[in-house]
Amino acid sequence: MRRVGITGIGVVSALGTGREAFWQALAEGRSGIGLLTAVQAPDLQITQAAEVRDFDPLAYFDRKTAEQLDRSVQFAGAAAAEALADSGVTYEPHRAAVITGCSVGGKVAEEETYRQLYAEGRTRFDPITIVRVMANASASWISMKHAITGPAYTISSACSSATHAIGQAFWMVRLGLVDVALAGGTEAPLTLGMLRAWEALRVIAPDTCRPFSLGRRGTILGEGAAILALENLERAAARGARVYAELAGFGMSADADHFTMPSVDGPVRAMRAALEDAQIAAEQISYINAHGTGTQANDKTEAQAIRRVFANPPPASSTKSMHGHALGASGALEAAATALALSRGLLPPTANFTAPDPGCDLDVIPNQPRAFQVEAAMSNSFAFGGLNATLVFRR
Amino acid sequence: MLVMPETTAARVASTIAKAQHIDVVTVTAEKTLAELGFDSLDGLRLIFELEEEFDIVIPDDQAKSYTTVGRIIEGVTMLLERKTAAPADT
Repeated sequence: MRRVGITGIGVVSALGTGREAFWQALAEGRSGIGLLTAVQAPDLQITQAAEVRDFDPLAYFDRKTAEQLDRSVQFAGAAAAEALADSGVTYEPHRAAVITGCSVGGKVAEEETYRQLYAEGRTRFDPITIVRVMANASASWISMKHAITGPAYTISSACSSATHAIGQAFWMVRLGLVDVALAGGTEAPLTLGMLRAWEALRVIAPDTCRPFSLGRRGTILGEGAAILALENLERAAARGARVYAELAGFGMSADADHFTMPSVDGPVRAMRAALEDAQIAAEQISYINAHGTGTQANDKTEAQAIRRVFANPPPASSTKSMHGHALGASGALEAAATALALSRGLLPPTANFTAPDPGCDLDVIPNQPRAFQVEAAMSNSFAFGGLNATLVFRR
Repeated sequence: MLVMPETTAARVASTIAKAQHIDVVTVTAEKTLAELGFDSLDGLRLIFELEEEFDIVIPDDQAKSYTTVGRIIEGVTMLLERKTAAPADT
């Protein structure tokens, strides 16, 4: 089996467009959460979001292409281009894959269509509508743009989508099915319909996202994309490529229990499966990028699960406190954060932290980043619907 | 600016130019859609834009004959005449 390296990273997030803007904010513990501007509705209770504010589609696409792509696909396209350029990797078209994660598909385009359909009674729609709303448009666009003719598809598993996507792409490279894979996730869910639906779940914080902190009031929705360039490590070494981190293990599980209530058992099994896949002992993990949504239930349950897997839990921060919960993109943003933390010897903190919650008894790296050279790290994603995915990284 | 009522031909040409983000002076009657850079999906979007612009319904079989700018102008003109001759039931 081949070893797999991360040789390129591309990011679009509330922390800015581009990998360096993303890392700069994480390294300062600066949150991208702020007043919601994408949607105006007077009685909307959700007022805060982690919005992408500086993204200009025309910097990445010609006008006609930009029109054809939903906001989520624009994010993914920009992130993929950055990851490939960063990596400098070349490939035979059929020896490359693109696997993306997306939870809700082209919602910006879809909701505008529905508004015209139901509110205006329109009967004619732009023929590009189907292409705009299909959840796999990001994988399709990236394959077309970068001449990737190997495996290409999109995985949808809510908040674990991108982690499942990266895990599958990792296994494909490890098995030698392909030499190179672009993998990650994208989401642009800040639409009125989505916000109303999230509002009904009563898990969105009115103030900000403060995972594991006493007084946390819920999560904050975000948007963005991250794409990693994964490469056969031997091949990467032969061309002298810079490797951010090695992707060493992937584990997954289902709670088979409840749509929204998190479980301890499911995440425990995902983390253990990832460690086993990586052939790394729990004691070797010295940083966890937690799922850490900031909801009462998730953070308490995740802390318990981590305590069950790790006799002495390593520091575990939630970068959702900064880039928000970007659903199907989250796992990719967090994988990017973890790879950069390994590469740069700095652990991003849990921002917005006020006081420890005895129910979440972990070192969550409160507010201040920590200079520390980690040898192996873990990133968790636990989705609504009870679908869990964990990645293990090694320096 | 002098405002003049646009002819059907001019409106078709400007709809084509707008759909494809090209200069309207390149949209001449003898040009094929392929020459103007349209692929099949672009062609479908143009039919939609023409229906919106002129508030007409372009039947599938007629849309298939829309291969050149000239034929589109003829087709749209015919549909507009038919619309004027037989106003919709009230």
